[in-house]
Amino acid sequence: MTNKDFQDNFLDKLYAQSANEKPPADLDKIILEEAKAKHKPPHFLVSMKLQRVLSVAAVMVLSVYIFFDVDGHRSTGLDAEWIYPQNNDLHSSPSAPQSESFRMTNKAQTIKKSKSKETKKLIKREAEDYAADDMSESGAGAQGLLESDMAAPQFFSAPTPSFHKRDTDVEHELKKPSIRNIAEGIKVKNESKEVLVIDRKSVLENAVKSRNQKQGVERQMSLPTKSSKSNEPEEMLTEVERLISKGELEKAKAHYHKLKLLFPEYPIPTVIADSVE
Amino acid sequence: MDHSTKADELLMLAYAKGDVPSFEALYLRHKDALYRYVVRQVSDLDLAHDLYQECWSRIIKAATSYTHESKWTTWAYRIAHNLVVDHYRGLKPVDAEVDTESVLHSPERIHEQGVLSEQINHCMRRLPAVQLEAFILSQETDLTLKMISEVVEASHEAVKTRLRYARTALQDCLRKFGLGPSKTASDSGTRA
Repeated sequence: MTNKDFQDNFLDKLYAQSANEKPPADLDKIILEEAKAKHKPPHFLVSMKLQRVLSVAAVMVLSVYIFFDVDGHRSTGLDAEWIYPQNNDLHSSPSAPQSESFRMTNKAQTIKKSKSKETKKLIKREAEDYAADDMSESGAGAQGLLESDMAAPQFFSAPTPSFHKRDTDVEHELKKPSIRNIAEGIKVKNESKEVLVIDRKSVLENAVKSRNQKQGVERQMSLPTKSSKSNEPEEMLTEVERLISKGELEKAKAHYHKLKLLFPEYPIPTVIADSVE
Repeated sequence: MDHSTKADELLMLAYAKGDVPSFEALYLRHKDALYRYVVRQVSDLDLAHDLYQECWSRIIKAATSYTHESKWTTWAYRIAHNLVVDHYRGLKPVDAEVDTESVLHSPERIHEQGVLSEQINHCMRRLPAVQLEAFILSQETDLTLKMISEVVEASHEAVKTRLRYARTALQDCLRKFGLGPSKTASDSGTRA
């Protein structure tokens, strides 16, 4: 070993003896905490913040999807009336179809009310007419009355032109699939129409029944029918005169005999009797 | 798992993957030497603590980018070197003459650290910064001259020269305090 090596060894030993400085304990703790913090899982607040950001992003994506896909896929599981606007025109207000449906419903209800009032008036008037006929038309037959009675519902069932026009409009509106309230309004209106027709029929039938009971079956049988009305003696006699003037004596003779057969006591002018016989 | 036998590089790679105990083992293994490396170059103790903490923070942050290509000690001391250079390159070693009497007979120093340690520290503070750094690295670490040259960003020969000058200056300084190899030993050494 040289003197230099010996001196170097001495210096190394001397340095080793003096090398006793150590970092403070608090500094050790700080550094180790920092090392641990670098590999800690994300803090709860950080994860909450992330969740909030993700929620906002999800809402935005859903909004964009609804906005761009509103025309393409209406048959999703979601409530179409809630998600989608009720008409195809996206530029119009979403509340417009709703107000339209309410308007149509109100219209139907108004029509129902007015029609019911009108129908009641007509039924009342008809009943009064029947009563007047009963008093005045003693010669009218039950058959003829029944025919006019049967014609009455046709008269009542024929709606006013304006009403027809409204029906057409409503049906046109009903073709739009998403307007439920309009459909409900139309349904109510149709039901009201049916009820009115049934009411009219039943009232008329009751009136006929009561009238038949008043007149009695025998009188009804004795009354000439509407077809025999044309065989009245005056008319038959007029017909005979017309045939004679035309020169159709054979037909005139047949009508004359028929008149004599049906009305033997009816006075026939001698001129006519002579010309035929 | 026993971390004491693991190499520094493996511990660092394990920590980069999330194994905190590996870092604790690494820290316990190197904290004192690194601390002395910083403290003995920086006269201000508070500033030395800041630099020491900053050094470990940088090591922690750079853990994921650490590769096995370089020795961990070389890599870590290079970080510490850059910190010290950034803050203290402009400072010169103490130029004042040593008041040997005050050092020798200061009761506080004797009580706190011991005369020997204070004397050698005093002599080290007189060294130029580059010599001091090379000397501390040679004493505190097992780095070769080539590795030290990598840390201090100097050539191998320059580091060798710095070390030789540092040792000579320290021996001369210590001799003023009556410290040195005994005459007999010195003689026998010379003879040998």
